[in-house]
Amino acid sequence: MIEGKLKVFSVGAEWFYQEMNKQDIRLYKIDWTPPIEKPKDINDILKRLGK
Amino acid sequence: MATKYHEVKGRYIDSVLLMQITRELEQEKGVNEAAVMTATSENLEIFESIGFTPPKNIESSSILIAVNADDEKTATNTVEEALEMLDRKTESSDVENYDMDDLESLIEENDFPLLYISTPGKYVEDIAKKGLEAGINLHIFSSNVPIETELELKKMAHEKNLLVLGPDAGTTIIQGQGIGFANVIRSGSIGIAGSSGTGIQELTVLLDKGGLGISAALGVGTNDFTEKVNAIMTKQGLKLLKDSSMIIIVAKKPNPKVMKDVVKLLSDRPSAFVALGDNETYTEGETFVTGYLDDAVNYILEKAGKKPLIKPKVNMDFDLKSRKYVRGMFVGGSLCYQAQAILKKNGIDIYSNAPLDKEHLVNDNWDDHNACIDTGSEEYVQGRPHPMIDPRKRNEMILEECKKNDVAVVLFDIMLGYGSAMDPLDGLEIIPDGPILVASITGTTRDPQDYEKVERGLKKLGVKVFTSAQQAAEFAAKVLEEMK
Repeated sequence: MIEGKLKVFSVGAEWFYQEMNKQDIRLYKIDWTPPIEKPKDINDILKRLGK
Repeated sequence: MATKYHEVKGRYIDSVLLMQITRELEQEKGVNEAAVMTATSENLEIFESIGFTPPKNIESSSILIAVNADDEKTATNTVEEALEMLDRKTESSDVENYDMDDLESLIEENDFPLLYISTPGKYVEDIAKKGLEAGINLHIFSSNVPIETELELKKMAHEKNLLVLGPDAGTTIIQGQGIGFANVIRSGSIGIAGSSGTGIQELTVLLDKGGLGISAALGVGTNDFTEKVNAIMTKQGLKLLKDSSMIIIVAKKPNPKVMKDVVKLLSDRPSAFVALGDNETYTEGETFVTGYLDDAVNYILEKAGKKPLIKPKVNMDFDLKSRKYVRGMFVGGSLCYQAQAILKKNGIDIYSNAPLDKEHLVNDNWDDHNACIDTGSEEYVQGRPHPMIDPRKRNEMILEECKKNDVAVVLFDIMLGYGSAMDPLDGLEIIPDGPILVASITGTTRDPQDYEKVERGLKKLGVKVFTSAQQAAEFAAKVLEEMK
């Protein structure tokens, strides 16, 4: 048996947050932004700088 | 012609909503091309491939809006419209947003806490570890998480007596509430665990139709039945389901040894194990092992003293002329798999992009074969939402098959419930003198889509409608048999 009352924390897709929010769920939205990607090598850096 | 770019910093919005915004912008008058995506290196290449030149030094975590329109004014207005849409579509009234660091403080003594993760797969590990460290169970919808990471997370969870459902877990139902893609089903005493999301949906819906309810349904993720993961979370889940009167397990291509171990654990009560894609049926103790979802449900219904699922009588009076092929267009990978097994059992040589064996693999051209296509697989969802969320591409594929003169039967699935599209028939239309259309509806009358309206819509299109995917596939096989 699952003990305790379900409490959901949603991180990521807004679609699923909104779909779960239509139900009787104790739901918390967790803010998240992806970390900034590190360029893989010098060519990548130059490409980003437009050189 | 004018092109405008706008960078939105410090916001994450998932690709489903961003693609919906893109589609709406493209329909604006005077807009030639629009794209709204997170500016990852992969997405910057997509921008370039459709003719945009994204500004340099844009942050990879930003959202980039790109619009090409007939004139400057339209381009500027369309960017403004995109910004408004970003706010409107993520507006959740009365909702306070929290940070990952808040998790621990939000858990109270009598909670069963669950962190639902649906970020891109490469970011899952870090988030999942934070969740487990805070003592929270996980449901990971995200795919593309390395199996080594999955194993590490599941071992961590096992030590802490927590659950890691997923990665790649579509469906879980706890205390009657759907997590991810889930139908509105009655509560009861049957416990379900499985590595197949649509398989779990179909089982819960069929039990509901048979008059039984579930205690919980735990989606353990596609890899749980591999030799490497060794069903760690299925076994953990079974401990939580110990008070359930009967158990059903569903797995796609389970490793035989892992499956055997799990079957042993079920021996203390009437149970069923569905090994999708397998045609072998046997009983071990009180556990019924089968490859088919309806057969498992009927076994459980019988044990509960209920009547088996009703099989509809369908008129077999068809004039198919020279048509000969069956084509299945599925949004659910597991139902696609089950259909292949049924067609194969009936002597039909069946091909797929997710085949039962390597010899029957087809990718983009199945014109000379019977074929079942999983339209939710990676190659069909590049740059667009999964067909359960937006069915239009899949429905377009159904229409394409209907226009072919040698196709006798087009078989497809309709998935209802939370998470799925409100209009699953979007884009379907009547094709005069086409093949026989056969569909199953995985849904209940309590689902948000209005089951009866969907059923009426299908019948209006001339579709033969079945209440289970197994029945629909068996009917398709029977049609082909009649034609011989």
